[in-house]
Amino acid sequence: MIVYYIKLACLSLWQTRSLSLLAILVIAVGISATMTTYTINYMMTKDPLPSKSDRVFLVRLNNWSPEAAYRNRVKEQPPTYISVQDTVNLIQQNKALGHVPIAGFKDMLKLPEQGAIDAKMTFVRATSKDFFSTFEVPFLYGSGWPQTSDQSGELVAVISKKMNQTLFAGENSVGRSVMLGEHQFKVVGVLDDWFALPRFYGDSMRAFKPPRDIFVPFQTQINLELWTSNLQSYECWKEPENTTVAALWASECIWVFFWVELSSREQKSEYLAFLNAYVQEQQALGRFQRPIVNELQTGSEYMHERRAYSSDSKIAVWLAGCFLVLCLLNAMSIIMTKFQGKAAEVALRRAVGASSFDLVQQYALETSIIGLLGGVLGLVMTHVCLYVSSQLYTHLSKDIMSMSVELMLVTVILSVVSSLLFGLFPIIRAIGVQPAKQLKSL
Amino acid sequence: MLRMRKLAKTYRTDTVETQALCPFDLEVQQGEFVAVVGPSGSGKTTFLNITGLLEAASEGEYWLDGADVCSLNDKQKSRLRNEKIGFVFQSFNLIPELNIYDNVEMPLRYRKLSTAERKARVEHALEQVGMGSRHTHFPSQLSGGQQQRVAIARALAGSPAFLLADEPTGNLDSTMADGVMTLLKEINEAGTTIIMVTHDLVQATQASRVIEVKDGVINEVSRQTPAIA
Amino acid sequence: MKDLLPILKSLKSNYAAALLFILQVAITFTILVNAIFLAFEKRAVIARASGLDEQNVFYVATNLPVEDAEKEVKLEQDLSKLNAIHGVESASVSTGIPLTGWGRLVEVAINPDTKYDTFSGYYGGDTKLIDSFGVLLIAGRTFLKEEESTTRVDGYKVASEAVVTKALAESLFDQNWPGIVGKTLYINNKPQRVVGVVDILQSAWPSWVVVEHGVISAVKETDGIVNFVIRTRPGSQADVMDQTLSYLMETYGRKIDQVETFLDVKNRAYSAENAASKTLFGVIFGLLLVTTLGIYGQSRYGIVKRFKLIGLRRAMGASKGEIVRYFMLENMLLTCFGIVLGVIAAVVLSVTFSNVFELGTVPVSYMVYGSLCTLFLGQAAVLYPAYRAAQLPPAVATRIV
Repeated sequence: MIVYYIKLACLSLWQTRSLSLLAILVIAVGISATMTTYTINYMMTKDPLPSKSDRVFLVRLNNWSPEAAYRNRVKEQPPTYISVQDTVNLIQQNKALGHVPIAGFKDMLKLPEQGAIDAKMTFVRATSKDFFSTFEVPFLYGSGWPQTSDQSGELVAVISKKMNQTLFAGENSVGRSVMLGEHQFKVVGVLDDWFALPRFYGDSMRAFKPPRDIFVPFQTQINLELWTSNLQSYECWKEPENTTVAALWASECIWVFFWVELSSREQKSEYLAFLNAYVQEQQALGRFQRPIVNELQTGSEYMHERRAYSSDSKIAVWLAGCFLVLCLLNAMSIIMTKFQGKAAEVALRRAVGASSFDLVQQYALETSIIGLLGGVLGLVMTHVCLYVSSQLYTHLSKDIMSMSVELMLVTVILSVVSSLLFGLFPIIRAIGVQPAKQLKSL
Repeated sequence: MLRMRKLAKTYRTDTVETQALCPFDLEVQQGEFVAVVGPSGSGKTTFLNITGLLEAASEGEYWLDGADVCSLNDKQKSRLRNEKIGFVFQSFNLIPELNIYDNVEMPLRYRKLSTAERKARVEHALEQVGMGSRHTHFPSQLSGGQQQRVAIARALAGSPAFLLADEPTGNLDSTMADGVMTLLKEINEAGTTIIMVTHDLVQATQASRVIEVKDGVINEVSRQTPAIA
Repeated sequence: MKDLLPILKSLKSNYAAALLFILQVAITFTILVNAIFLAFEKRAVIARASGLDEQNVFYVATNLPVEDAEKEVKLEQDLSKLNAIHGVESASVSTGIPLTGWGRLVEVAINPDTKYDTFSGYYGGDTKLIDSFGVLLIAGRTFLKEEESTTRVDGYKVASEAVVTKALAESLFDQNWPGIVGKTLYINNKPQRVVGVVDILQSAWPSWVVVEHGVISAVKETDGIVNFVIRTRPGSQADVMDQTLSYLMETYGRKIDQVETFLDVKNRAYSAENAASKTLFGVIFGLLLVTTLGIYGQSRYGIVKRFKLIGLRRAMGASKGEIVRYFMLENMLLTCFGIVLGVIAAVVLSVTFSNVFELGTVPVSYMVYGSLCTLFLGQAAVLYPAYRAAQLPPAVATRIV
């Protein structure tokens, strides 16, 4: 039977091809508008680390002046970053599965054999080996550095696929060297394409930008006193002893984002208790003279608090949703027109013994085909729109503008289901016609 | 095989109530050729629609092949129409985008039949009406008489208990009309019951029985074939 | 108006199509009004003045590649060389550049030892910085040469004079803002005397609530990366940029961190707003297209279906104009229903948006203009089908069944 319905549907679509094409086009436009905005919004707000979202936390310690709460907030809340000395201490205590400091600097990067003129100002991410395991970073060649590098602050580096392309023409560069400022770093790993979005672990302003191109051990930055004053935000409630970088490291100035990966969700309270004990210990030494309001915050909680998600993308989804309804209403009136021309056929089929259900099936199938074609066309248009968006939204990473297989399936299903839903009324109206009247009038 | 008791039809609008058919009794036996005559607006079509299960009667009883029609739901009625009744319309009502074969096959599609069985029935029906060689033609490529033959083949394909013909020659010139009438007579002689609505009294005389509808009242006019030659 | 009754009757008999039409108009109106409002809001943000002479300012972020003790001398040398380049109006050093996203923030208070009254962006530089930015001084004076000093970091801690923006003065003293000149402000609890007020100077963060609050002091900083702000004569920017870079690269160890014209800075700062408003205009365009086509198609179909009726009216003596008027009136009637529904929906949507996303609500004027536009759109879309209908010969009444 279904084959018969498909044959009839194809015949009918061909018979009313201009109207059918119009309906397909209108549906495709609506679907593509909705799916484009939805994809962007989905990619911006999705959980970047779904497998561990409940056990990777940002450590927030209430390190601020005894005289005033941080940012003078009425409800006291700890800063989002911590000082170098606390970072070093917490790593040494080693109470979590993974410790990921997020620091950095920028310097001129080149190959040792290149001249100074070829050096490019490059943003460097200073972190630990746990960065790669905790955030599930894929490697193309090599791997992260060993723990010993973290401890001793070795001159080792992991570079991005893009940087590997630029410096080494995409070859396996593990074992080669790069010059970062005055220091020579050995490459131990090359990253593969890495689409973690939103990039929640650092400065929220940069959550939708591409990752940095070179990664070095945090301890190396500390040892070599590499500091860029105008790169990342830092706040000091107490001045460093003097103007040297060493004094800045030893000061209460806060600027390192510190993430921990715990072995399980249950370990959260345990780790928080450890943090509180650590702060109490430090209080005894004269630091942390404020109420203990330490926090462990998940990536998405942190992003929400920092308002990293622009409301624009949500509004766009809303508007596009309304737009889709409009397009579907439009398609509905086209389908109604289409079926109005079929009153005679409906009556005839009823007379020769087709039940209303038979006819609903037949026309629902025809409408589904319209929806399906609209969905497929809409999918193509969505890809075009996403491409245009990636050109237009230069401030966002291109990775946002891509669709997963699930989203593509959802697109087509949405199209078929919504077409059926909006096509149902015209179908029922068409079939509700009294067969007797139609047969006589023809 | 067809029995009606005190059957009547009333149309209601907001304010007016119209008696389209007054209560009547009627019985049709297997193999009869019944002509229904009467002026336009008299209720002929209403009678045909009720007989063909396209409209429900307002009151009364109606048995078709022993089944009580009034108690059936839409789906059951559709099934009954499909299996027991073959329709022939004044304006043929062939579907223009389907070819002859597909048009004739259409009622069979709503039954659970194998492809081979459908094919055999369609071919047989088309042979019966003398259109055996035109499977792939489209309705627009045929003359009016040929189209009506195809329409009759469609009605016959399901081997119905009776044929309901609504002015089958109304849109045809007299030569073609004669051909169609001859065909209907042959079909009747082969055993199929036919109920035919017509305003042409000459055609009515070809039937074995004539019923007249006038202002909603149904009367038996004649039971035997009158010898008008 | 004699057509009104027949129109209403015919709509009643074909209520489904009429309802669809009304719904489409309503949704179009809802999206249209909200999208235009949002797009204009974005445009307004982008159009805000930075206060700078935007066309003619660029900056170079670079280091002072000498020992700490020599940095001040090196800075002075660089500044005098840069000012001597042909085409330069004024060159200065600054701790930050407006709208770049990286800058310094200070707390401002009127009284000592109190909590802050407000926040402000901070720029420290030489006495010519105000001139190099090209901002307009509207009260008081600029810095004197003897007020200028140099330090390694955190110039606001050693500054003793300040120039503030009008927005900051207003937030502290309301209408009496010119009176701020001569008063002492506490910048991060350090007393500083206000010597002048500039009209507008935005801070480093374009989306900051108090983006127009600014404090300028005459303290140069030499640590790390310094920003040379250079205002050129119109038309000579590219030329000056080349000369500036070739001069700077003469010093061994010089790193050029960033070279950017202020227009590029501003474009980058508002890239999100720019993209969003372009998208919104895209949505509006698509919307108008779909709706116009929809109205056109439906009117056309509605008229084709009524060929016989039209012929009949023509046969009975209706003029072509009367036929056109009938369909225009029908369209207007339906559009009006749609607009009424649309106004309600638009208000609901706008209130929802403003609650959920902290936006303003759509002002009434948008509703009025939106209504007029939608009405015009409907009339424009029905014009051609109605015109075609009027061309029908009366004889169709008898021919088409």
